[in-house]
Amino acid sequence: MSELLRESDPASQQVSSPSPSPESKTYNEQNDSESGAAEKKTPVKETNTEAVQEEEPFFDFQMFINDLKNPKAEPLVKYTRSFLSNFVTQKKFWTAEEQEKLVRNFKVFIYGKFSEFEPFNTLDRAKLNNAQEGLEKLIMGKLYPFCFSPELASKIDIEELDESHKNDVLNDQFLEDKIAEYSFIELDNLDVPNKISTKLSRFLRLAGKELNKINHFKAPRDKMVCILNSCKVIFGILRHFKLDKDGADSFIPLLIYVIIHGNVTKLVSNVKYIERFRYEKFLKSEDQYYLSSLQAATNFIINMNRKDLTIKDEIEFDAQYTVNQETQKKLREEKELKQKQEQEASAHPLTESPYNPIDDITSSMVSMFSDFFTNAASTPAVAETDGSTAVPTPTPTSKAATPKRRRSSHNRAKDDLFMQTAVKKMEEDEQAETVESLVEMFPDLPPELIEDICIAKKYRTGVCVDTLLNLYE
Amino acid sequence: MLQFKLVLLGDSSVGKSSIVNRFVKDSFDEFRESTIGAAFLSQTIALQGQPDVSVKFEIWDTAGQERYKSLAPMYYRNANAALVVYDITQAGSLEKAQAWVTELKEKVDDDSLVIYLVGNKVDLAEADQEVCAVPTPEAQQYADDNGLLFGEVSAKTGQGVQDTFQAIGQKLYDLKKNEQGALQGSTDGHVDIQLPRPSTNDSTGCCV
Repeated sequence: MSELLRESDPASQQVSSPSPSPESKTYNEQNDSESGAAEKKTPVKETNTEAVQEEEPFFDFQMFINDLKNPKAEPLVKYTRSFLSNFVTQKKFWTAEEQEKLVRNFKVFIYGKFSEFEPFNTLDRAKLNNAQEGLEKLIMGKLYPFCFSPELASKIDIEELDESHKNDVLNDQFLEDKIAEYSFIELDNLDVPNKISTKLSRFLRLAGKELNKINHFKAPRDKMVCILNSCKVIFGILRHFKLDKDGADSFIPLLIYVIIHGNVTKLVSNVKYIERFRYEKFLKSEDQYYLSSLQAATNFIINMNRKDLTIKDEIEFDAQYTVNQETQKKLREEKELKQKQEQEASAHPLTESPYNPIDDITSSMVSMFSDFFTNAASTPAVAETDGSTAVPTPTPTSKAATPKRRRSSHNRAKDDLFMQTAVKKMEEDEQAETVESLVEMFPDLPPELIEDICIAKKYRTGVCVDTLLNLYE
Repeated sequence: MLQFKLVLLGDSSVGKSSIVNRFVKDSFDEFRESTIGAAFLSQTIALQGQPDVSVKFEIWDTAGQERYKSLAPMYYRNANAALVVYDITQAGSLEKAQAWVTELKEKVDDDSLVIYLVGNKVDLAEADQEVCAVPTPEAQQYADDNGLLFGEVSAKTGQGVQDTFQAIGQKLYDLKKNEQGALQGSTDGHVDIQLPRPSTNDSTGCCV
């Protein structure tokens, strides 16, 4: 068995289970049809009566999993298991282009198979859509360690990686270096009409916070929602300062500013990952626009030099630049020291790998699902007989089940309880922060109203901003 | 429903975003979907004289400042149409628009890209002929020579705005019709406006 697989087996079973939603609010709402949804953007104004309707978009991962657990859907589970197993065993690693093709072909194949098996062949269009989303989230959650460039680079020496994965990681670093170099720049350096007051930093922090969540999630959809939410907040800022009429002339510089000051890491890799693994059908219109804008903004920053900035006072700019160079140098040294300490600490056998807490918590919330998949994986594989070449013959992966079995059910219950409490606390803090930011963003609206809207919209920032913007008009 | 991607190009002071805002605002119709975002807008219209043909525009705004010019290719790739805007009261504004047209013709491989050259702020010139810095015949001539659609509008009063999008919609529809007619070899004039779609039953497959 390949080194790659051995390293990633426990991860694919425990840590990389897909998180239910970017806002991880689903724990107490699993039966709510809207739960599990990091809300898909809702257009600011939208009314439909035509026959060609887009249903109110919803996403409910649990609903998909429940359907998949239906015994009649077992062949779909087998296809998926077989695909995942072959993806990680057939080759030490695939190039990004190969991965993209494999994943896309599998989706086309399995989405086609939905029409052959209950309960999927009886779903209405909205639910079928949900199932397709669910499947994408499921497989990409499992394949994340192999497909997300920084994850891959943490396992394989960068020089051994294929060109695309390697470039992603290098560009992430170029971007981060450039952000550090110019971390002091202000909006007027970027040609934003100078109408914006100092209150702005608060709003932009909210936008940066939303964008930062991109590294908390594994599903391409969830990452995309983080981008959309961030862009909605930027739009809210523009509208608040009456700059929305300038469209992209204001939007693009603000987006660049948010990236520089939001301290978002691995952005290039994230954009590439979404482009590669978000199913084409789902990545269109507004999503595509904002993804392209993010890509444009990151390119701009990577190539940014003094000559690309509007500098009113050269001497002052030089002084700031020098001070910033010193600051960055100190920060780098501190970071290196910290890394060294961490490395020493991680030699200790009990130290957990530094995984994102939200992902860990949400992973444990869907442990039920992991069990489901693990158990399924330990049953004997059945060779497919329909001659389909899209899905290779399943390979038993019972080895994958081992890490789970080591934990007693008692321990797991205890862990779950701890996780529940931790999730609740985290949620409450985040909710309070969201309300606070929105109150500041919409000073003309009564705070109670804003809070009510947050509750009604389940604290989904993008939707809240949308709703408030409508009231604001 | 036909769905098209339209990219908006022009200098930052020519009012390109205002034209689109005017278009979306004026064609706001409770029966039709529209999206108003920071820089992405969508609007569905029925073609004049063909009420059964719906055209949905997905409008991609670009940053007009000189420093962001290099980002434009990210926006115009896969576009079906480009609206290139200049300001009729600014001398030199047409040249900048022409530079965009040249770039589009060089960089966009697709021959079927519909380019519409539009002069904004016609209300100012009508109020005072003196302020008109770009004579209509000059722009018209350039458009004719280069196979562009052309018009003058006022985002402020709305004059000409609907006509602009009607003309683009009509042109895109005709192109699609010819393309499909050629594919089907049909001579009966019947047009199937269902676009090729991904394998799933998605209702809003994009034609790009």
